[in-house]
Amino acid sequence: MSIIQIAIIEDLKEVAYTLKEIFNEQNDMSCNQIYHNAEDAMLFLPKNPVDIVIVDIGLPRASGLEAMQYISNYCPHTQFCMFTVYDDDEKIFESIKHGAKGYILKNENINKIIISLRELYSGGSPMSPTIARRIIEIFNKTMIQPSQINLPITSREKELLELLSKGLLYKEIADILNITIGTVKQHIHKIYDKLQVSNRTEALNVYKGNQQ
Amino acid sequence: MSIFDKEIVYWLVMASFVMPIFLSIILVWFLLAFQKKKYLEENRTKDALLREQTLLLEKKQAIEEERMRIGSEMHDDLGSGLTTILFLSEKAHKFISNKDLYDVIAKISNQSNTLLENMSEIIWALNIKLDNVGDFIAYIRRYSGEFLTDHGINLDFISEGLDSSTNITGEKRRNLFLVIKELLHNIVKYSQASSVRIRIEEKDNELIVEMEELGGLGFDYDEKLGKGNGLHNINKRVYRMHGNIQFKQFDHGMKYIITIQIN
Repeated sequence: MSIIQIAIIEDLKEVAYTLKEIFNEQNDMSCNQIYHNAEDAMLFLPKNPVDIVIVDIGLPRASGLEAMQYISNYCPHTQFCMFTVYDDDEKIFESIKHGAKGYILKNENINKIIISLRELYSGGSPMSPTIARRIIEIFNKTMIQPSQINLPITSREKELLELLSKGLLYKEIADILNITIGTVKQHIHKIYDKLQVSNRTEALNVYKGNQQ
Repeated sequence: MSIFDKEIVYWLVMASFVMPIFLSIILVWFLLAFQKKKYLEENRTKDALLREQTLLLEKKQAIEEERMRIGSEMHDDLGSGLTTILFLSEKAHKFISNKDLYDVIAKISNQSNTLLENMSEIIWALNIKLDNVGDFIAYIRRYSGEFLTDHGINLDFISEGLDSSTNITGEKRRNLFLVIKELLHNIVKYSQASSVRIRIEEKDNELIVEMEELGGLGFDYDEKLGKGNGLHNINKRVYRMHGNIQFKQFDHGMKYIITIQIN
């Protein structure tokens, strides 16, 4: 069994250390890097890459989002999981647009946090109805503008986004589409991948537009 | 006489030509003046209206900015404090063998968890980007689904005639959500229902929410009012939304019908 290497960027020391202890109690997890600000993480994490970084969004100076964007340039295989009070947060959506593949809620039960991390490691992501709605808007916009790359979002993924945006639970969606909950979460992970590509293309187009 | 006559005829002819022209000039002049005045007046009211609208818009924006600011400050300040308490109490559990003490710590942990949840709901209501029926119904659906499933109760959720983009204020969202939440908690606590049907319909600027218990015990509204079951609270919130709530008792349990004006 491979061990999931985890790093934590969280300015609340008590929270970070409790999490670390809990992770190290698991057979399949190991955590020996804790950072209390984005700057330290940006300095040391690229040299000691891990599988999953748990990132608190609100950090003292540079934000968690900035830390993630910087570190991901050096660690292409690292997955970023945002740590947040609630999932309708605008910043969570921003993070996902820039490459985060998951988020965990701070008041989530510890067991649920651990399950979420295992799911993330095996390529599954969560998605709230609000995030689903925002992603549908983005993809609809990209479809209209022919200058941008027409995204290869499959009809299955579109269907899934529609159901998620209406607030259906993973279980209900799995039943409707006749797939497992695990597969639902893997579809979400792929949608996040595509969203990130779309976001990069958009940024590149804006950049090219400015140069002309 | 003939000379005199000629002069009169001459002036008469002249007058009959000139007078109408003169009169029409005066008439046209008056008309133009009137038009100009009307135009100016219209412009003035338009300007005033525009200024008023700009002012209203600015005020609305200021309120929205303030809402977002309060939300993000709550999130950052209160959120970190509560999270720390939650994690510390979680950690304390490991060191405690005394049962009474263990229970106290468990209460602290539960309480901070509930507070974090309540806070998220306030931040949710403060977020102007979510002031629409689509996001609102999805939120209710997910909350009800998760909550009822956690307590082994089925949910059947139906929505009709919804226009996702219809605007609904944060205050209404919060009040209506809390009413539904309170009813759901009551159902879990007292009803013994095996499943719940929620039907939401948008019709003529009204939102109608029907919640029906299946296999529930049901209760007499007048008998239960004011017995610490949140019914007063529910009524208060519905009243605040200028809405209406009906409690109907059936053999299969209760049916609640909430109606509110959207705008």
